Amino acid sequence: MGAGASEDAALVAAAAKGDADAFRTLVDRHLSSVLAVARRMLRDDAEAEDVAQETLLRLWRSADGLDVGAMGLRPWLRRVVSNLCVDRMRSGKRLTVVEELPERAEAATQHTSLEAQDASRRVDVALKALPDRQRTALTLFHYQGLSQVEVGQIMGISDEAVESLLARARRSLKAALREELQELLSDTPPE
Amino acid sequence: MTKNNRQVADREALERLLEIYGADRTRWPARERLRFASVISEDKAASRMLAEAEALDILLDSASRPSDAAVDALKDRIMATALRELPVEVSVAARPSASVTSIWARRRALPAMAPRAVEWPAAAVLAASLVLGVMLGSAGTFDATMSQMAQVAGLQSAAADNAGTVDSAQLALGDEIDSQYEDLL
Repeated sequence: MGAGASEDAALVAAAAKGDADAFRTLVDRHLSSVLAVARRMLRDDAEAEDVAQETLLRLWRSADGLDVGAMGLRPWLRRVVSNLCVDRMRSGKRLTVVEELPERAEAATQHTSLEAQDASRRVDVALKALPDRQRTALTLFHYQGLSQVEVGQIMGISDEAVESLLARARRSLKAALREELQELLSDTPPE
Repeated sequence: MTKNNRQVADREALERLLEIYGADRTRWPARERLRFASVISEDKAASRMLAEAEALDILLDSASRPSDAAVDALKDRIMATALRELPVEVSVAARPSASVTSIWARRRALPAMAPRAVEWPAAAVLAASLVLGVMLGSAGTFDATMSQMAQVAGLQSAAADNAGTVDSAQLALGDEIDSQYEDLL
């Protein structure tokens, strides 16, 4: 078990006894990444904050029986936040509704209107324009580093379906961020 | 398959691979890593495709993160909610079961200890009353002195406050037991 994982385990054990300081340290350590996942999976910041809060409170409530593995607390938190996001999207029928949108919807016009702004904001817009399932698969695979199998388990779909969602997501993003990509590639010295 | 056809097939396969996994070759299946290592080094078009995928990964990694102020405010909300839940859920459910059991066992034992603990001061007061009663009765000043004695022993106020069912010694010990409860909790 690494140093970070050991510290997580000690903090969880203390939190299980009602140590609020230990819990605060866990919140300091993990909230940003939990919130980042929720923001990328759900397009609404307020909803993402609700999910991040619920994830951390589940940690507080279930710290007593929680077994922190060799990778620390991060995999457990990632699983909880991902499942909460998927549940929210399902309960709001967002997965079905957004699935009907065209893959490259509005990317070009949104991109044009945001040309003067920084690249990260344009990437945000492109990510938000993706259909929910594509964005969820990309968030879990690219940003959270989950394997294709793990993504499939969380989303309740086959490996092949995960591959298809990832490929479509990247194709859409390449189209939406064409100019930024060209700028980046032109800055790269030829080999 | 001619060399040209194989090159086209390799490029198509590489394009598909990059779309699924991105440019980070550590995320590729091991077999694909081996297969495309030589393709990328020998085919400039393949190398260019990898560079484009790397650029997309760089852009994705530049996506904005929540502001510090938003994160700090959320932390405060989480802590406030967690602390509100502390007495109900964490102090009983999340604490180790052994210590919860021992606290409740000790709490249950305390009322049983109390009657034995209050026996000796009550007996002392009774003995003193008997001695003083004999002395004062023989001196003919029983009523006035009895009142003074009750004040000294604290019985008068206790009787008035508690309808004569609890004496002051018991009340004092009750406070002590309560403070023991508080220490335990």
